[in-house]
Amino acid sequence: MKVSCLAIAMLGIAASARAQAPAPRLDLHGFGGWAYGRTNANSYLAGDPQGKYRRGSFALNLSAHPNRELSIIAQTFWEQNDDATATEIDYAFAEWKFSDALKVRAGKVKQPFGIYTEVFDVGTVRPFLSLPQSIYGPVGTIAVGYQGIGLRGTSPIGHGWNLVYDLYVGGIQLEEYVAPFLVLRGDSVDVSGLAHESTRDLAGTRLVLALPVQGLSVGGSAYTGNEGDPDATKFRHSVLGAQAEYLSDHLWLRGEYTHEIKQRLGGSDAVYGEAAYFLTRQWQLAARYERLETRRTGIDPSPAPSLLKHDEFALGLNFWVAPEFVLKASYHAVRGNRLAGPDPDELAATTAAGQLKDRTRLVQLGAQFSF
Amino acid sequence: MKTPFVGSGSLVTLIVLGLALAPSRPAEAQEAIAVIVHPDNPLTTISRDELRRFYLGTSTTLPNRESVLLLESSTVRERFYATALGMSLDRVKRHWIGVVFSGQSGTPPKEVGGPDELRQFVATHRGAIAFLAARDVSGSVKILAVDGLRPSDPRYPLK
Repeated sequence: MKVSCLAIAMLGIAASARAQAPAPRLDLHGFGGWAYGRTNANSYLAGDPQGKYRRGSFALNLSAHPNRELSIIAQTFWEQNDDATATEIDYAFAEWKFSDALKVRAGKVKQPFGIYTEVFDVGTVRPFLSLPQSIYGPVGTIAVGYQGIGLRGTSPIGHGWNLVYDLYVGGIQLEEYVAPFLVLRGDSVDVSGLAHESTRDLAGTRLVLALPVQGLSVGGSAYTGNEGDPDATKFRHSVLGAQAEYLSDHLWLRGEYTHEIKQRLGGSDAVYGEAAYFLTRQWQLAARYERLETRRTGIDPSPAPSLLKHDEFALGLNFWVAPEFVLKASYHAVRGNRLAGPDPDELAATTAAGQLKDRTRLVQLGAQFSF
Repeated sequence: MKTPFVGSGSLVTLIVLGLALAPSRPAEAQEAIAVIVHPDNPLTTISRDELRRFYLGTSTTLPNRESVLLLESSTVRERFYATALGMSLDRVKRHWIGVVFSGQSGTPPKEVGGPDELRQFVATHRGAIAFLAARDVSGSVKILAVDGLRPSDPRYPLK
């Protein structure tokens, strides 16, 4: 259900014969989902060998439009994973619209990078329960949002072409699963295996060009900033991305590539291609291939090369009850332990014992919705 | 009692008669869909590309700087989206889910009850754009030409 002051304004239309200025509006939307996962070995996404069913999420999205130019937009996200519940402000920002060609945003804003960052957890706009992990997983490439100020605009450039552009400055916090690096270095690993790294003095951009062929767009994204402790060692962290998307009533095709450079530390390359086809209005088939290769200087991967690689093929079958509610099932074949492996605090012992399994099979079932 | 026998010739006659007397395709299927705005709106004509930009949230401002307020009629919306945007209703809905959650300031089209309410709403809101069956339009609102053609024109694209 959508709560809107507009509805209240509609009730009063009969009383007024003169033209009315737009009333201030408050819109409430939300999305969420639940997933079950089971693997043959290792933990990955919503699955582990015992079968995990306690993974659910919900988000509330609030937008207020006090006047014609100003919008205040915020989104809060809750996620339960087994016994842990996380709450996060995805974004909270103000937007001042000078025109469609120029809008200024300030606050915590969704990072405009690639196809999916701005709809990160919204399951009703994608074919799989989870996004491709090589780019959108905990690989330290893309943040949920940037804190700072940005410009956004859209402009038709004639003959059916359209350009959407973003430019922003500020800082981001990146989450990265670093357990494989720590194990290869011989360092200790905590229970989460995650590191949170701040990138400051950041500047980024995204350009998306919609072509005259309906539903087809191509684009590129890039950002660069300083990572590390400002009082100690800093290094430049830069990411470049390319994207292509084609959406029709029946067919969805998406592909992205990212190239990450961490000055003096290494970097990564990631790519995925995704296709989905509606057999009927409800039934949809999906397939995806993705690959991630990580490089770290000073780390010898030879004891377990699979710790720096992720290679995945997935097949999915979805039943769309409505565009706002979908039931999904998927099968994933993973090769590599960059993102799939035993629990982080067991990774070192398993690797040392030569018992690391570099192949993971995952089955996921779940439901996703939005309103 | 003897059962009346219907021969093959009679059967054909019955089928032909049945087809002739059966209701033809609903009138709505061929009828023009009018795009309407407030009488003070400076627009007199709109292209399908502009309609697409408004109804997908790419453009949110009218030439007179009014914020656009999108309305839809449930009775003809599937046909409107197919002819004006070249998209199914489901695809339009999914597009708007993406627009809303990516933090863009566009607002999805609002479904307004019947033709009377829709007309009345447009007549009292300067930024409103709506569509409804051409036969339901009255003088209280302005009809826009689409790609330079009026709804009465046989070449009018929204049919």
